[in-house]
Amino acid sequence: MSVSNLLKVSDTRRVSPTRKGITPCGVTKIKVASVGFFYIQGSDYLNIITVEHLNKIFKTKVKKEGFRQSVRSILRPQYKTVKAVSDIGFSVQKGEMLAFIGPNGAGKSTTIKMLTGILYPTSGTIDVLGMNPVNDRMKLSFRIGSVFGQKSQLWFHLPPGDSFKLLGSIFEIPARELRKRISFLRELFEIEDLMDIPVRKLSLGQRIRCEIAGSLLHRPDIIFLDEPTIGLDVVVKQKIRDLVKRLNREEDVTIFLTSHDVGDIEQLCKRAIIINNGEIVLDESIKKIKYNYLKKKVIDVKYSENIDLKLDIPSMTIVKAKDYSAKIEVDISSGTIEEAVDKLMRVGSVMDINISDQPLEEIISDIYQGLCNP
Amino acid sequence: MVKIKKYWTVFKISIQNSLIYTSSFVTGLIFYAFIIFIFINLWRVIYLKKELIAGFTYNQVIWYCIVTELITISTGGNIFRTISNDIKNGAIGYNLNKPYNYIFYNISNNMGNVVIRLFFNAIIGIAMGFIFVGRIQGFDVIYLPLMLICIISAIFLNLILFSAVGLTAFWFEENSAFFWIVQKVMFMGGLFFPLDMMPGWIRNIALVLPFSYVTYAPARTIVKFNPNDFSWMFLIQVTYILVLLILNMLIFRKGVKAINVNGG
Repeated sequence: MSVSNLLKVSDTRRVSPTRKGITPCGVTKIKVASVGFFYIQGSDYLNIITVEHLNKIFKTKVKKEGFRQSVRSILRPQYKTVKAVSDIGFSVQKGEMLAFIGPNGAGKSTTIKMLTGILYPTSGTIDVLGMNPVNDRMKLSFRIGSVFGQKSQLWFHLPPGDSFKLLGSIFEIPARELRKRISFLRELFEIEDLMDIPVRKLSLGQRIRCEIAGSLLHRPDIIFLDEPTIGLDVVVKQKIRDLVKRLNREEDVTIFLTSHDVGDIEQLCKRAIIINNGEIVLDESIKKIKYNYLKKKVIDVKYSENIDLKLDIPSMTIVKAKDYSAKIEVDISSGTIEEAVDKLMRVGSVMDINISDQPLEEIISDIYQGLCNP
Repeated sequence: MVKIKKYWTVFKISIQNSLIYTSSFVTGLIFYAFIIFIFINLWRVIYLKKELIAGFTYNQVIWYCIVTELITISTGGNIFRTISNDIKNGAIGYNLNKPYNYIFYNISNNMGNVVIRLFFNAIIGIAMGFIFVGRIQGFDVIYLPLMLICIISAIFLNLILFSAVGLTAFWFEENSAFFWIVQKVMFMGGLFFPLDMMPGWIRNIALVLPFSYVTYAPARTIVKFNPNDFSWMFLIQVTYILVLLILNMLIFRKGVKAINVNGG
């Protein structure tokens, strides 16, 4: 059990390693109510994932177009090296819910696979729960869980109950404990009625709930969720998010989430790491991302009469304008909201006005494209 | 004990799973009965003028074919396909994340299917043998458990052989060619007729290769049973099983390092 479970931690801060013999994870300074500060060394405590200078290079065969090139590629194959992950470093604390995001091919899945010991890094160090995933893959698997939204770990033709029993046996869970655990997860995930239905007959949302429940049987310390809500409808997505939140709260499971759905990130995570072209472009709290990178506000305005909207202020852009209503984007780095609202008020008689932040989705997409600078 | 129990559970679950694919083993069963029927007629014509060919009577050669086909058809090529596909489509990621040995997992996972097919094929095979040629000449019921051991260890050896071939997918995107080659070599290892009918030099080569211990050796031991032959054959089978298991582990360990999980 970690220190954070034993004591009520009121303030945690990382301090830079200065003394000799300190582990790569550094030292964590903890303030405990009524006791004062104390220091913890090493990775087994608060930092449960530490990655330093991690690289992964893939070698792929290249073949140019045409018959001659095909023959040539057999006789003299040419290879291209692709840097999937390039010198990345980060750490994750116990109980954290972290979003690991980036566009397709950014290196997200490659990183997760290295963290779980599936892929061997080309260079760099990884420490997960005090273990090196490459050398201790089997040992580590008892303490981590993973759900890949696009792949299944349940037996397709059998009911989830059978798969759970199998997983319980694979994770060497004693029978009585397994029964208790299954009944707890069954209730939590509301899958009581699904336990006897073959997995192939479940809907995607039902299956994903069973997948996540299955990956929690062995009480993992960390769970890697790789696009868990992909292809789900809004209601089911929300349900999955609520479950993940509850899980984190009740069992103190660390969540390592990758998703293309900004809703997942916004609602679940406090911190996000953005990766693009194999490099970490940002490692910041969601709040700070919004604060630092929010360059635009969106104004929705409704008039009581038909208006012909024409704007001569450079910081304002019309996104949509039709009859009585308009949607305007205001660049707050070159103009002010006050100026914008004032201008819109002058156009006609305003019935309703709503000012909102630029959606996180757009901010992230701007960060991917390098359009955003803090 | 807990470590072994997990493979037992995998085996039990795979039996349940196989029972769902009834159409698969019913078609396998029809195929098996059809092949045996062809052999019965083919060998009947060959034995019209002779009573003994290379030391085998008609009765023995039919039972020989019933056994070799029983072993190969019941094993099938599922283990090869599962392992190759796992590696090619990246599903192996889920397997590597679990605390079990991937090779043992796949063997136990396939054994469920094999046991079911073996059970039904054996009923058909034995029934056809009894109907067309009568019981095995010199059959003694005391040796029945040892005969069963011959078959089970041959199936193990076959699975391990094809699992090694499946693991080549770590390096070859299209590895079916290896499967076909091994399968054809298996034909020459005494699948259709005893190696005793082959020229001496081919027989000598075949006898040092593992393939003949999947088909020829166990089938010959069953139709011409004597405890001494059985002991030798079983010893060689076990040795090959262990050697190939180690080979599997080595290929797997090397393959995992070279893994390029497809689909990011």
